[in-house]
This record gives sequence, structure tokens and C-alpha cells, in this order.
Amino acid sequence: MPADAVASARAADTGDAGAGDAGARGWLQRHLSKLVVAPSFAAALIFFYGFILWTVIISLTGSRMLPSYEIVGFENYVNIWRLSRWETAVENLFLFGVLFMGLSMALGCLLAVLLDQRIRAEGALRTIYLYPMAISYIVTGTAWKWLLDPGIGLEKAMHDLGWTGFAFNWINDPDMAIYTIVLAAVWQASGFVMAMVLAALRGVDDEIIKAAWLDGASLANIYRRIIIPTIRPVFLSAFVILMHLAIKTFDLVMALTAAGPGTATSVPATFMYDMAFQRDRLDFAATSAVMMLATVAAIIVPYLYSEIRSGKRG
Amino acid sequence: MAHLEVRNVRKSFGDTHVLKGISLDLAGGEFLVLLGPSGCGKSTLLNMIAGLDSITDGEIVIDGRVVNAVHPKNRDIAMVFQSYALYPNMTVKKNIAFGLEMRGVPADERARLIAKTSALLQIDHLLDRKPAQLSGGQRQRVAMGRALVRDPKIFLFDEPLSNLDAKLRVDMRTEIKKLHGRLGTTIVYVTHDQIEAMTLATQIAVMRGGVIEQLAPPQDVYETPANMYVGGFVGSPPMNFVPATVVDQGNGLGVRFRCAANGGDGDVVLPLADPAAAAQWKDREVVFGLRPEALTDYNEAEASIREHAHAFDCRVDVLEPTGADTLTYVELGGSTAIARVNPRRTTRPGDTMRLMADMSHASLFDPSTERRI
Ligand SMILES: Nc1ncnc2c1ncn2[C@@H]1O[C@H](COP(=O)(O)OP(=O)(O)OP(=O)(O)O)[C@@H](O)[C@H]1O
Ligand SMILES: [Mg+2]
Repeated sequence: MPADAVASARAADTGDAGAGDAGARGWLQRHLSKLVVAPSFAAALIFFYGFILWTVIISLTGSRMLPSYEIVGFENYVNIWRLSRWETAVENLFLFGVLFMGLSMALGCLLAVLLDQRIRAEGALRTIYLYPMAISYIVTGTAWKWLLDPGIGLEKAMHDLGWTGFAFNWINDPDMAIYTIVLAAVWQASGFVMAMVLAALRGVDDEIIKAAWLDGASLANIYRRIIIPTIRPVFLSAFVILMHLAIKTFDLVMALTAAGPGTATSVPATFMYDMAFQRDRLDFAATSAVMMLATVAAIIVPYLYSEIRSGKRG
Repeated sequence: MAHLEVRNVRKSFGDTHVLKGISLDLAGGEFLVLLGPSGCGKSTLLNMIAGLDSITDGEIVIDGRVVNAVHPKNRDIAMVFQSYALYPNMTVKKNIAFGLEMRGVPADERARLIAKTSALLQIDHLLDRKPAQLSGGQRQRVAMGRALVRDPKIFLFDEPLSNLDAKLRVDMRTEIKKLHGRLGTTIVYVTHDQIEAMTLATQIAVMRGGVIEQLAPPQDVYETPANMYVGGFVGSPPMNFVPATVVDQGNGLGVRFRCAANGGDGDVVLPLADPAAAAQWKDREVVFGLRPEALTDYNEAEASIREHAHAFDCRVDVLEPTGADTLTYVELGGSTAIARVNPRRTTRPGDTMRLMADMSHASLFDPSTERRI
């Protein structure tokens, strides 16, 4: 009996395959890949682009706590600039963004160049510098909040050691609190920049550097004239990644200063959250969200475009 | 035209001893080829001469001055790398100019030198391209241009032709030779291609495992190899090695080995051209070395002119036609030997043919030390 069953199964099989091209199975085979990606495609369409569209529409309405659909035009985009809160947020973002990107890049490059000198224990050091990137911003923010809290952190430790004149209370100072966010963010991201730059430095052919030595170039000239121009694409990638991280910064601020003291450290993302869930101004929340999206897009789209184009050429 | 001396130089990476005491003395204008298999330390030695690698022990002397502690840029050496090592972000012109610029050569002088060098190497039309837009041969020329333009005391070449196709390689080989003829600069050139070594060198250093096995002019390396390794490494096909015994022969000495011929197995004795050298080896085992072109088909006219040509019969195992000659494999003394035979005088495999050995080109080696006797 089993032999019979096998034989008939095989017959059925071949029969199917023979008719397969025209039948349902052939259709399935041709469209299987499309079917598999369809749910995630649909989800992306609805939840990303659908809600982007929805947010744009809301930003054009006079919604308060709940969405309403009476269009008021671009009024919100004008009025939002009258809010001192938004002004603070934009100023902070600008200050934070410039410092965060500048310092992360500088520190990351410095670490990479130092690690590139073939030092001992490079593997361990590399991991240590890279680890912060693996931690969520909430954890980074909380840890730095404790470290910077004058009552329990660095200041207290210094006082306990006997240096009673030591004062470090930036986190409670409305003028300085934004710099504590820069500090924590740089601590988190510079290891990542280091890893990217180090990989790129390692990609530069050893013989090119030897040739430059023989050509009489100093170490500074080798970096300036040969290595850095060679690895420029990596700087661009790192820059774009840092930039969009900066614009989207939210959780770090919430965990570290909760946008305080007062509203001193608010950034567009915290502004948006505040407007949507605390101040019942969905219209301003949507407006700020659209403006952030537009800023990120203004950076990423040209970058992706140039990447795709160079990919095609390559 | 610099005089380069390497005195007992050693190099270790931790416990691995890469160079085990290298000594060279190279007069100005010589073309030294470092020849050896992969991993024998050729690049390491070159890097040490250039100053790109530290020296574990020993001295490198250029024109009478010990340069161990001299920075590479102050040694006045230019190097062409195997990967060409062109600066990818610069145009050909900038690549060539970079060394001049770093040395503070004024711009108009730079332009003049670039024009001269690029004309010499026929790369004038490529000056505004980036290295990625060049072919392998063009990159090779640019790399040479970068070295030439500085007019250094010594040129170092690290396998500059190994990335080129066979035809281009032959062309570039000739050009490098011409260039050396014209410039007369001292050159150290690394390769593992022994034809390149033979054609270019005025001196060959055959290296193995971090030591120099022989340092001599190419013809000497070819004809009187210092040991079996050199004999086997230089020449294509390599030297034949026949286990043999030194015996009395007439009023001199000869080498005796077994050889199958005419359906039987017999002994062949070939008289030595220089019996005095082998006097101590009488009745002892030796390795008898003979280049394939010294083992040819028998030719009465030639045999009568050449004093040391001797004929014997031998069974042919395999034939490999190459066009100019047919490589004929025979068994001598239990090991395979190759004869270069005129294609019109071959026999079929299995048949016996009459061969002629030119004993004036024979070498004898000590079987235990493998050194030349
Ligand atoms: N940094 C290093 N640490 C340890 N061993 C090394 C190092 N650099 C080279 N070696 C060893 O030194 C030996 C010689 O290397 P070298 O590059 O000089 O060889 P080569 O003769 O140039 O070979 P090739 O013809 O393949 O270029 C090799 O066995 C290599 O493994
Ligand atoms: Mg090498």
C-alpha cells in the first residue's frame, strides 16, 4: 500500500507540474515574493505615509485636543513662531545640533586616529568606546541625570573627597542645562563615529601611506591631503546620521532634564509631545512635526539621491 | 648612482624571524633583483631599505652613511609598489607632483619636471584623470612617474609588473631596462618571476626563508648555481638533478647513473669536464645537475666540435612540444630529467633515442648539504 500511495502522489505531482505554468500554482510561484512583502508594504503605506499625510492635514486645521477638519491654511505655521516655547526649542536644537555633531565628529575622529596607531588592547578599547551606542537614550539620560545631580553625583563625590569648593550644577541652571544634554549625547554617539571612521581608516591601503612617507609628507599632511579626502564619504554618512539623530532627540531630553529646568531645554520633539498631550494643541504639535520631518527630509533626500546615483555609476 | 650596503640585517616580528642576516654590497648604478618564492622576506627587506620598517639588527648604509635612524623622506629613495599605491583622491598630475610639493619644489619647476617625466613615460594625455579611470598598465606608468620625477638616489621596485597581463609585462620589462640604461640609477627590484630577474638584473640575489642563497650576476646564477635550491628555482624548466656516483673514467673522473635504454637497464658514465674539482668525491654519491638545454638530441657535427659533449642512449617517457623545442622527459638515476630536443628529431614515447650531454655545463652537488661541489 505505501508504495502505491507514493506512486499516486508522484503521479499527482507530475500532473500538477505539467499544468503548473498556467494554473494557480504557477501564478502563486510568480507572485509569491510580492505576496510576502505585501502586508509590510501595506503597513508602511498606511502607518508611515498615511499618518504623515494625516499629520500634514491636521497641521492645516484648527484642531485642539481632538482632531477637527476645518482647514485654516498655513496659519499655524505663522503662529507657531509667536510662541516663545517654540523659539526656545528651535534655538536649543540649533545649539545642541551644532555642538553635538561637531563634538561627536571631532572626538570620534580623534579616537579613531589614536586607535589606528596599532596600539595594544585595541579590540577592548574599541568595544568600550562603542558600547554607549548600544544603550538606549533613556538609560543614558537617567545615568547622566544621577551623575550630574549635585546632591548625589559628581559634585557630592568631590565634596566627600574633601574638595568642598567644587561646584557643578549645570543640570539645574537654565542657561547651562542644554550643555548637559550635549555632554550625554556626545558620550553616546562619539564611539559610533569612531567605529565608522576607524573602519574607513583601515580601508586605506597601507602602501599608499608608505608611498606618502617616501614622498616626504609629514603625518599631518598624510592625514590632511590623503587619508581624509579618501574617506570623505564616511564623514558624509556619519554627518547625516548624527544630524537626523539630533533633530529627533526626544528620549534623552525627557530622561535627563524633562525639558527643564522650566522649559529651558525643550527641543522641537519635546515641544511636539507637550503640545499634543499636555496643552491640547494638536494643531501646533502637527505643525512642529511636519517642520521636523521637512528638515530631516531636506538633509536625507539629497544624500540618498547622491548615494543611489553613485551606486548606479559604481 | 648611490652605493648601497646592507650589513647583516635581521628582522623579527616577535618570535618569527623573517630575515636572518642579509648582507649585500651594491655598487652605484647596479640593478639588483631580489628573487625568491612568496613569503621569503623580499618586501620586508625592501621596506627596511626604504625605512618603512624598523631594523631588528644590522645596518643599512647608503653612500657610506648608516641610515638606520634616518627618516624615509630623508633617504632620497623612491619606491614603486605592487599595488601602485596611487593617491586615489588626486589626479595623475597631482600624484606625480605630490612628492615635489612636499619637498618644497617651486610650482614652475614642478610643472617642468612633470612635463618631462610624463613625456618620458607617455602619460601626458592622462594627467587630468583620477587613478580609478586608468588601466592597470597606465597606473603602473603613473607609479613609475611618481618615483622618477624626484630623481632619487635609489629606486626600489616591489613586484611592479605582477598585476599586468603577460604581454604588457614583457613590454614594461623592456621599458624598465631601457630606463635603467638611460638613468643609471641604483635599483633594487623584487620579483618572483625568474625571467624578469634574468632579463633585468646586473646582480641577482636568490632568497629563501630570510637568507640569500646566492648573490651573483644572472649568468653566473644560471650556470653555476650555489646550491640545488638555486638551480631548481632559476631556469624554466629547472635544472635536472640526477643522483649519481663519481667513478674513474679513462684518465679522469666521470659520473655514473642508471638509465633504461633499448629494452634493458644499464649504467651510463659521463666524463667530467673538470675532474680536479671532484677529486675528493671519488666513489661517493653526488647529485649531478644539468640544464635541460645541455641535454639535447645527438648531433654528430655538434658532438665533434664540442669537446665535452658525450652521447648516450635513453628511453623517452613523455614528450611536451613547446614550439621551438620539444621537452623530452627521460628517467636518469631514478629521477625525472628533461631534455630540450629539436622537434624534428623526436621519437615516440617508449622508444630509445640518442641524447647528448654537454658536460662543460654540468654541476655537482653534495647530496647532504645540497651545496655546489
Ligand atoms: N607584521 C608582520 N608580523 C609577522 N610576520 C610578518 C609580518 N609581516 C610579514 N611577516 C612575515 O614575513 C615573511 C616575509 O614577508 P614578505 O612580505 O617580506 O614576503 P615576500 O617575500 O615579499 O612575499 P611575496 O612575494 O608574497 O610578496 C612572511 O612569512 C610573512 O608572513
Ligand atoms: Mg612582497
